[in-house]
Amino acid sequence: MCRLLKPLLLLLLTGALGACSTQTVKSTTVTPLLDDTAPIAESELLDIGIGVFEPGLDDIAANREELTFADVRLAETQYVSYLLAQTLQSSGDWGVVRVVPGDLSYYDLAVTGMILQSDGERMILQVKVTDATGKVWIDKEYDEVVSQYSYDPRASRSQDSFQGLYNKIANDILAYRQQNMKSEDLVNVRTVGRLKFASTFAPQVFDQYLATDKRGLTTVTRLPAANDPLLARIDSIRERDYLFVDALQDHYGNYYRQMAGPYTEFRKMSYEEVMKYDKLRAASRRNMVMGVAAILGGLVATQSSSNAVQYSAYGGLFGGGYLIKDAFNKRDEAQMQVESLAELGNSLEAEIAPQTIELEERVVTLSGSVASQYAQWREILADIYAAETGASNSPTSEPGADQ
Amino acid sequence: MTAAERRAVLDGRLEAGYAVFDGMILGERERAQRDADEAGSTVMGTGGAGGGAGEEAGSGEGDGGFGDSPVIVASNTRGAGAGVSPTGASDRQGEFDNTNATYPPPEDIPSGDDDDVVARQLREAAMREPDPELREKLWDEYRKYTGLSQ
Repeated sequence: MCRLLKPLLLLLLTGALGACSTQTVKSTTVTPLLDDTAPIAESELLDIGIGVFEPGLDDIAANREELTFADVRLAETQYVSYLLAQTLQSSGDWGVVRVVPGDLSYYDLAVTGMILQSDGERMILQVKVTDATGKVWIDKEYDEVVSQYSYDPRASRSQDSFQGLYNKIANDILAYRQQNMKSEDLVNVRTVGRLKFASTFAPQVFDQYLATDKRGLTTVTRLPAANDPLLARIDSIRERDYLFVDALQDHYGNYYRQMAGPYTEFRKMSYEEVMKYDKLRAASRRNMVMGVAAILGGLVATQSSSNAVQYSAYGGLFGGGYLIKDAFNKRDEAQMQVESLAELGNSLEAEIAPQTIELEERVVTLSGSVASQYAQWREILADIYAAETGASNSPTSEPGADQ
Repeated sequence: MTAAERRAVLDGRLEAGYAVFDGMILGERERAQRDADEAGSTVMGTGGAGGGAGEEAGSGEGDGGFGDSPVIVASNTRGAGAGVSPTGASDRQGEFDNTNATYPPPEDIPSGDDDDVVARQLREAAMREPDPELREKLWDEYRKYTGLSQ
């Protein structure tokens, strides 16, 4: 029995020591947002479309499920996307940066992502950046742990507690452009984006200018004439697409501003609760391991022929029992922290849910109206193309007829 | 109808669609501005005078901070801009299908009984438009589309 117990004891003690040595480094400094010191030509400025981040509710770590509230996470998807757009725009390194709820394929740069963890203490985002040609610039996780200082009102920080994380993402995108994209590459990306957009409206004309290989990379096979009238018409439509997305930004901006106050307060309180929860869970685990180790050690020691060792064995058994009891107590306390967090989460959910619903309704309504208008324009463009080429494949009736 | 004539008519429909679309977007931005005002904040960059240039309020110097009402604006550097922000009170709810006619048509505009769908859309958009400048623009589109201005 002793032979079996000794390695087991060693393993348990190692585990306990390992638990004690876990250490988290917290950042009290914010990564600065870099901007490109070299001027960039207007023709090389890339527009960025940021998709609304995925909530990642199916990918929550087991030890964070209790600390995650679905409605808060859904609201965060809008918040995070908008704040990342703000960060990129304020760097001055890009064209326009917008949160886009729909198709991003024709944006010069498309940023998509998922929230993997978000509480007051830590945020982990999965971010992917792809240009219009299909080249992936970045696909990585960004992880930031903040200190209590981030929520200290005396620090009068007017920025988001996780601003450093958004700055890191923006800096990485900029670094990729600086290191990997020449001027002609940037112009090419814009051309592909323009032709892709045109292709969504008149594929019968513009598909021929693009080719996509097996890896999903799109290249320009040839260019339309500089004065191509159909492309000019589609450019007019694209300007309107910009206006549509601009209108959406107004709504996202309103939502962001309404949410920022209560959300920051929630995260501040959540930070404290999460810290307590993590400490209690860690202490519970540690005491449980040590308690079991002490009991097993005591059991081994009871086999000894020495009275002194046997007395200490009983001490080990009692001590182990106490540690296990304390582990259960701490686990219960941790559960109380979860309930306390749930109250905070429910309160925030109740506060922001109406705005979330309103935002989603506005986006859906406006997108629906725009999609309907775009469908009409597609038909008109097809008719124009047919008129210009003498084809008789017009999908619509005579111009001016009721639809 | 020749191909050129047919193309001209189709271009007219496209133009009419643009006018309706622009009216819808302006209405939407007006609504967003109203929402922002009610919430005690400002939607920055909305309704600027045509072709806004991607303004940004945040300098992004070092810490990338924005304050409580961060920056931005989505008016684009390449797009058409938002045009003139509608002025004047309106109880319009910003819905595209709102059919409450509020502003009577100018005297030279006929009854519109034989309007087709595009002309009707233009007429309705103009009659709902509270901004006189944009309303007149819509009526001009209507005149152009229906041949009144020829």
